[in-house]
Amino acid sequence: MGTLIALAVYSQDISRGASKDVTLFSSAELTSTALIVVQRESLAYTTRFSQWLGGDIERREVQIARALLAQRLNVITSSKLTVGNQLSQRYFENLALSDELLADSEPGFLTTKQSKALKAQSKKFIDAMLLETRILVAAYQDALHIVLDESAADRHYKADRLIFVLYLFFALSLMLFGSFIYTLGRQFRRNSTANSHQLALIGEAIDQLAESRKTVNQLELLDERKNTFISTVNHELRTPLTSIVGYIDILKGKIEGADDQELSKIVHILERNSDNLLNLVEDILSLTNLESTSTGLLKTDVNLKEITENAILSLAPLSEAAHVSIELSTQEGIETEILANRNQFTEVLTNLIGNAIKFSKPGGAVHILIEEAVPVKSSKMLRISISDQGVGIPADEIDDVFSSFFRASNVRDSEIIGTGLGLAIVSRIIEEHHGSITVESTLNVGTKFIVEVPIFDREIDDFIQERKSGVLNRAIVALETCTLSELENITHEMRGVLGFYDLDEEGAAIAEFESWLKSSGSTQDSEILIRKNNLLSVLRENLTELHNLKEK
Amino acid sequence: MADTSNPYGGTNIDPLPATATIFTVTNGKKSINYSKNDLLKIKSSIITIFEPFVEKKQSFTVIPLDYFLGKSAISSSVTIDTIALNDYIFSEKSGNFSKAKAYIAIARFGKDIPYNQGGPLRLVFTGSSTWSKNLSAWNWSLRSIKVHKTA
Repeated sequence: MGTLIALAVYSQDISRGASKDVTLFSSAELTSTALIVVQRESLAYTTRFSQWLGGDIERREVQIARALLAQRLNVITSSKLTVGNQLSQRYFENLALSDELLADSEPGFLTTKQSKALKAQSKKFIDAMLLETRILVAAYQDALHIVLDESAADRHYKADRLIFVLYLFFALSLMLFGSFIYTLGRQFRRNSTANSHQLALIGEAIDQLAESRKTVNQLELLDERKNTFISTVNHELRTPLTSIVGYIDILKGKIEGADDQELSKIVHILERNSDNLLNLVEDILSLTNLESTSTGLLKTDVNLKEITENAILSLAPLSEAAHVSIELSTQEGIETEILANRNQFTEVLTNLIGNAIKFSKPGGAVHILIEEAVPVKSSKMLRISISDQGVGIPADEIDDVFSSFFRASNVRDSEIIGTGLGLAIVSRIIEEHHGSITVESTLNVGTKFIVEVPIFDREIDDFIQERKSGVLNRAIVALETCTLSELENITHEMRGVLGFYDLDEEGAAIAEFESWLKSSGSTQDSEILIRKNNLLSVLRENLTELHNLKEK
Repeated sequence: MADTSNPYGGTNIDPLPATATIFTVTNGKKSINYSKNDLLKIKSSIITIFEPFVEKKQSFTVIPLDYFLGKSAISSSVTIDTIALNDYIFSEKSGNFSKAKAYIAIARFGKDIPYNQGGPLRLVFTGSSTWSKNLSAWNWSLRSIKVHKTA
């Protein structure tokens, strides 16, 4: 009878303990679930905010994410307080900061300029919110652990006491209930392990997100700083250098006629090295400018023959001093207008012809030929080849000629000055003009640079320019209004149309989206919508640029 | 009228024209879009219920969910996803929504429901509904309903 009573008491106590565990766990779950949901909404809001700063979404979408976060904060929990009541003052200070930034901005998409201005101000908010979301995850973990630890300690104490009583009555009962405890314990551990695993996964995801955002920000900042640094340093160097070159010139004039060979030699070395340094600074500046303004260059119809003649004229002192003749010939009956940026293309020609003169032997000749080339993708092309009879480039170094700071081994230690940046600049400019450059060279025989660029076709250009905005606008409207099931067909059709009108970047963006749509087989509306919105942002941005160019 | 303000901000949203789509119901390849104007033209009623998230009684202008399910020919045996603006999804058999007498609220106390209070559209249930305490079903800021899978 005593055994039965003990059994009943024990079983009731264990059952009460287990039931209390469940209650405690549920209450921890309720509080911590509220925390984790706020964490999710906070992260969603921060992500939306970042997308808005990046010009990917309109302000309205950020405001909606902010409103949904507010709704979540206003939910009343089991403690009869709102979720927001359980968060820190710092959390709300950060929210207020983001509210101010949103309120001070314009509706719709941010322009690149506005985005740049806001990014710096928003960095504090984004970093702080990412930190807050991590704190919320930690709070979630703590809440669970504390309740589970308390529950486990309590249950162990009761179990020990009852086991002691039961030892006195009946060994069999003990074994029976021991087995019961073991089963419960195993279940409890299993739950605990599963929760820890999930928490670890959430923690890892948050860490990764914060890390990758930090890395991207750092890289952007570093790139910007690098360009600013190089540009500033170069400007600072150029000013004193120009003055040094001027004074050397004056000095040269003063010692002219004087019979001091050593002084003449020193001045000559000074002149050569300062010229070299000035060229290097100019070249680095050009390269930096090309990197920071790689798109949106104003291209017009430029007569290749005319700017080549001008380049030859400007290089006449150099060719005369080097005793090198220059011969320009043009294929008969061809149009020599190309679509180019006049200043940049002049730089290309000056560099290439200048090199040909520099590396020619005295009495040598530079031949320049302008002719029609084989059309590329239905675009008529014009070719200009510049051949010299100079020192040539070693065969194993030909592949490196367009790399920055490259100088062929056979001229590195010669009297011929150079920075090794000229051809890198030339290659970059030609790439910007949708053209190509190749080189053929034989050591001690000569080198030939062949440049091909699209011909300017006024009729086609007028036709394309007139329709570009309309076509792009039509693509945007079609993408905005089509249903998800129509999306694949619409993107396919629009890619073809954009390609026809030479809207390469937009066509590439649509092609990438279309390819993702096909390969992913995604049925998640949200993912498709996010990607579609990103694509639309690119198209809208390019449409604005198109309008700006047109106005120019 | 009960206090309906939200002390946690999020009140300013750039407005949309009344003709812009704010709600979509999709069954297979067919979607029906509803603008605010469209929703206002549909027959509605006013119910006063206990809002469980802010724990207050509130009056909502509502349209039975069955109206939209019927318009899109969604049968009771299929599972539907109710999708919120923040991509929260609550899925259940269409027939269970009908049994629970689900409503789509389009206004509260005769005015638009602000976004920071679960608007502009939200699912609500009366006190007598089997889902009155199933808080997962009370989807806020409803964006769309979509047939998830057929029976």
